Amino acid sequence: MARSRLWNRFRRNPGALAGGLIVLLVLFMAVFAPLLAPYDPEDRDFARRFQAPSPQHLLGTDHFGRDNLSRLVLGSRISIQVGLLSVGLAVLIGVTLGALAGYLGGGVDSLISRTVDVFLAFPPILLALALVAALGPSVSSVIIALGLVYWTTYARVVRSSILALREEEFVEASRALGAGWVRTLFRHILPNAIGPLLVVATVGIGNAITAEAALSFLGLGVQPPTPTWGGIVNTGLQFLRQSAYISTFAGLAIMVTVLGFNLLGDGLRDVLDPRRGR
Amino acid sequence: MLQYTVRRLLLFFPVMLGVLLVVFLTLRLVPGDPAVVYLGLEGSAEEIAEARVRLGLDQPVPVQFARYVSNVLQGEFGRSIFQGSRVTEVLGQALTPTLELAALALVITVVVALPLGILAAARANTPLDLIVTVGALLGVSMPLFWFAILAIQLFSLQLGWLPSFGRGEGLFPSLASGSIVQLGESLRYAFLPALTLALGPIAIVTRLTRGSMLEVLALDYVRTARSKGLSERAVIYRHALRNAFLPILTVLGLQFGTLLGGAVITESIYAWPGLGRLVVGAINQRDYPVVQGTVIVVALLVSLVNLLIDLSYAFVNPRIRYG
Repeated sequence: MARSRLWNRFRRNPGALAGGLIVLLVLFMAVFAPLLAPYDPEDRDFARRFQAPSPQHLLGTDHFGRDNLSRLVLGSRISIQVGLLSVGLAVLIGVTLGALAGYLGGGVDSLISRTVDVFLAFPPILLALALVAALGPSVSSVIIALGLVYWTTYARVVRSSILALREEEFVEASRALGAGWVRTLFRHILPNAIGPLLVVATVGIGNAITAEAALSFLGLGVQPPTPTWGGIVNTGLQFLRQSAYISTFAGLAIMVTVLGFNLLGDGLRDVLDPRRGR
Repeated sequence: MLQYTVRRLLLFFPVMLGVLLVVFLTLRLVPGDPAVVYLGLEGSAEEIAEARVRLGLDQPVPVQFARYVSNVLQGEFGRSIFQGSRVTEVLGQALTPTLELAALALVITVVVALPLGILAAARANTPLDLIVTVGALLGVSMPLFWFAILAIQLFSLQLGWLPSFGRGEGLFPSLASGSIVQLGESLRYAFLPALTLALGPIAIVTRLTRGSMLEVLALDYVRTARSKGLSERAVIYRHALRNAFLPILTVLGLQFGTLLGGAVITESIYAWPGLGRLVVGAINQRDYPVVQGTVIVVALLVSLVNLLIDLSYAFVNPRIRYG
């Protein structure tokens, strides 16, 4: 399919465009966070606690008098980092196992499919919680835990793509020409499975960002003083009577970011597979 | 049919064994000596050495796992390090509050999501459809802990209509008591947590109901029903909904896992004394026997519900003969 045609379809899809824009903005914010934050996120001053939004502090201040906006800007780094890396890990595990299951079939397929069933028996957030509890709370534990929780989605997508593609003529042709299974798999089958994978992974980043925020909210994820969106919402809950702004803006930041990834994922689905209605 | 049922039933056991293996291995990831982990930090050197033998930690790992499985099968989850009581007892107390919350959330989901989804499909591409679709998208994207805080702010702090924490007498006990007043009071406690828990499922089920209805409404038999002069109402409710309902039912069942996962966050915020709050507290206190017991029980519940869905699906749809 011509690349320019895909781009044209993307351009005409308002959801995809809006989602893509939000995602780009959040990525920009995460990369340049220290330059964008108006104040030092750790700069405390009890004289200006719980301030409402003002020209000096656009989103108000928290219980230590720290600038809410600066903490949110810095907090985007953890969300994006965990979102991208945990989904990267999940894709790596999922694609490897899913490809093996779909291509080799038989006993290997059964074993891998049953393993997927086992992981699906746990509510994702609960398994992530148990894993982070075991690994100790840190950014890398959260990434590893979420990667271990979410790989099943990608394994299933790749496995079913391969089952559908395995009987196609171009695969048969590749094998008839004497290509080994590794080459057939990587050169001919997997490139054709990338579309659905991209859609699921985009939505998956949004899910991972929500999950990280939930862990931080519960106090079991990335630990203070590192600012995280979930952690800020939790602080806001404790001081809800003094200032509702702390949790409101942090929650809004999570929602808009996740909405961006969801819109982009849904949009990509329409762009890559226009025949499928919703 | 029988063959499918038997095969599906037989799959349940290896999956549960796998669940136990994952929990067993997760616990082994905890840094340090498992005997120390099990006893807490107060154990003396002799106690720890004794615990190692008692817990079978001097045995090879496969033997340990076999012992562990046999203990779990006998309902032996050990004792809570923090509370001292048996883990099964602690779990038993927390199970009912979680189940009643999940049940109420499921009721809310059905009552809200089905009509919204059907309405959106029947009025496809109208402003009403757009509002429902965008609303569902926001619902999927909204972290439920933030929704909980907004709900507390509005209904508890500003309007003062509903309590923001606690369970009161409990829904199931109130239902059993038969007192309408008590049930009403319990519902006031349960409403906000259940609504919070239902947020994700409402959004998902609404989207799916809309999609499923749209697909069926485009089919030939629906056109036939319309062309023979049936009212739109009859077409939608008597003809279309019937066939759109199967996928909706499946997804509704799958929400049970989402509800139990959401309980971890919801119960922590509203101080609801169920499994979710129990496991978060246990993790904070490093009470590993309780963590392990809760995770196993939740996985068992989810697997059982999934099993029931699969089996009922096969009964409802005779085309499924093999899995």
